[in-house]
Amino acid sequence: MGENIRTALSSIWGNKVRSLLTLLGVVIGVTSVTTLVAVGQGVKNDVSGLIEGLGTNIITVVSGKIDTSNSGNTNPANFVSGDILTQSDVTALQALPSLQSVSPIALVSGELKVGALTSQPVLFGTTSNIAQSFDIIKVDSGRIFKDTADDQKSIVLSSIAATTLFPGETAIGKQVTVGTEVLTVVGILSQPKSSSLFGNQLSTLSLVPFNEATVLNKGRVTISRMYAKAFDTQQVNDVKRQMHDVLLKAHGGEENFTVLTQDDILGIFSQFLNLATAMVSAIASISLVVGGIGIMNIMLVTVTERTREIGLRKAVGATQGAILIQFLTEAVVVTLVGGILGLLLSWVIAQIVAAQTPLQPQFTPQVIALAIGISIIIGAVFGLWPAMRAARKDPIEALRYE
Amino acid sequence: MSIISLTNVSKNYLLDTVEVRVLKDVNISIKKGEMVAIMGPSGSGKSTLMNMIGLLDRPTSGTLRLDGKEIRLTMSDKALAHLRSEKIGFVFQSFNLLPRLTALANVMMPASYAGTASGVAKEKAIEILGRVGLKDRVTHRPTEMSGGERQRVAIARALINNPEIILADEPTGNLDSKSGKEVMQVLRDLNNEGKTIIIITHDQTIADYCSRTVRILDGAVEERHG
Repeated sequence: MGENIRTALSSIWGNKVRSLLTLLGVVIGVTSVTTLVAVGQGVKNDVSGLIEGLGTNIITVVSGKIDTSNSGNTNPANFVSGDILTQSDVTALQALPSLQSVSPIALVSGELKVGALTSQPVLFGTTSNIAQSFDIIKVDSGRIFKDTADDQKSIVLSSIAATTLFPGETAIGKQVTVGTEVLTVVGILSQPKSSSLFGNQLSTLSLVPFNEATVLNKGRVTISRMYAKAFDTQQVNDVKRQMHDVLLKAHGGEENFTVLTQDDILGIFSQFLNLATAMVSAIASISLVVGGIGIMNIMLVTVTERTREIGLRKAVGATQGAILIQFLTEAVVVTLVGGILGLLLSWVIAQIVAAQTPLQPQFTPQVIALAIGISIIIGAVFGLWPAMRAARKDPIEALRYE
Repeated sequence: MSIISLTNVSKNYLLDTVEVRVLKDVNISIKKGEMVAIMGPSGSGKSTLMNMIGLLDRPTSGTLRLDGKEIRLTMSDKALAHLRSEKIGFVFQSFNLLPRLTALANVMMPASYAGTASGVAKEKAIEILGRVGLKDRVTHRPTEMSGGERQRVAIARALINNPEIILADEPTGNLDSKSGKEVMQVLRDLNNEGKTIIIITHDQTIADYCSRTVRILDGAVEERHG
């Protein structure tokens, strides 16, 4: 076996140009597959890190029915309508003893203005318990507004908005215009731990009282989603079921909402990501097949070139099996070299991607094992036929071959 | 006791649609420790006879016995390969050394098929190379050696599994007369140590080294002692 490997390496080294051209298909195939998987892995890590950062006991209620077991059946129209979730749903959920807090979220469009300075926020209308329901929201200075009418004209700014609108001075106590409303800054949020891919959204999050959001939305009460927090991290799925039942009853049996745990959100995302990875990998695997055919071709040439050697080896006692293993080993060594080159190349590409884009490809042991595994399989599959031809050569004919 | 015996051995080949009889009822018996020349012009069937004795080919009819063991038509390739590895050392006219490998690696090669551990084989190969006068050529590749040296490497390779029989096919055919003499001397020394040597040749001076000559003509054998 050691000799077979040495022979293979020396024949690769002896025919550098030929070997390089032969290996190119395998190198390209392995490079594309491993790069894709590494990128996918990176995105997955990023998203699960983000979701875990939010806290695993957070449960989200959105309007519209999402089938979490099969994401293909979702009606996008459901997400648009804003009047499915109501204030009474919030009250009904708040009655559940397993929930620590429930916060409705109303989306408000509009920009923040102070004199000539403006800032584009993600603006949530919500209740004072939002910091309990949604861990990622933390007050850096000042406070969250109260739910009382005298505190309705308040706003909590993102740290980005605060520094943009009030450069070099404290924002708390100052006034900000949103649409036609003038609101007093009562607090500033700390910059949330951001994800490289999705970080920007929550970093501009500013909050207004829920009733003020209704005013800003011209009197329409729209709850686009709710964040709830379960007391017990272990019971999240039970709590989810309870919430589902409560809401189903409140909606008269019509399931026009979805209750999602963080796992569900991650699941939907993974499903999508896996599908995307599978599709692109299928395309990349075409180059692996082409590479494999190249290997088969070169191995057939090698077997013909070394016909006398095969004859000699058989004369001195090599069995068919020994010859088969010799040439199969050679093919696998060749593809393995290609696989390792491909892995190195994809590592280089990953470094470039990491430096130039928000994607952070992850070279997990699985990715490396995948690259090695693919190359071994390609070598074994496409090397088999040439190796069988070598093994079946008649020693007398082979020794006579010129 | 004969180490090789052929009894009424015939071999037919199918050439296109015509069946050609290459060996006709050949009877040969070679005793252990003999040095035998098999002579004949090209096309006489001597190569076929050599392949038969070397277990690379099977007879169409008749009986071939090697060291008392009958070689049957039904024997598997694997069984024949093992017998070859154990009983027979081949020496070819064109040496058939692998150019990528050193003299040492060439000599060691058959040992791997006999299942010898590579450490043991290496020691043995160095010893044998010394015996054929190539002590300082161990790490040389075939291209760095003369024809006579290459053929001695090939003889060393034939000896690595310690076979009973050395089967040499025109061993001096590609050599000048001086190297040829050296190679024949090596073979004669091996014969003196008790190896059975069979040389296929068309050269009378080579046959003169042997104690016995078997002549083959048109697939039939006539024998002369001397």
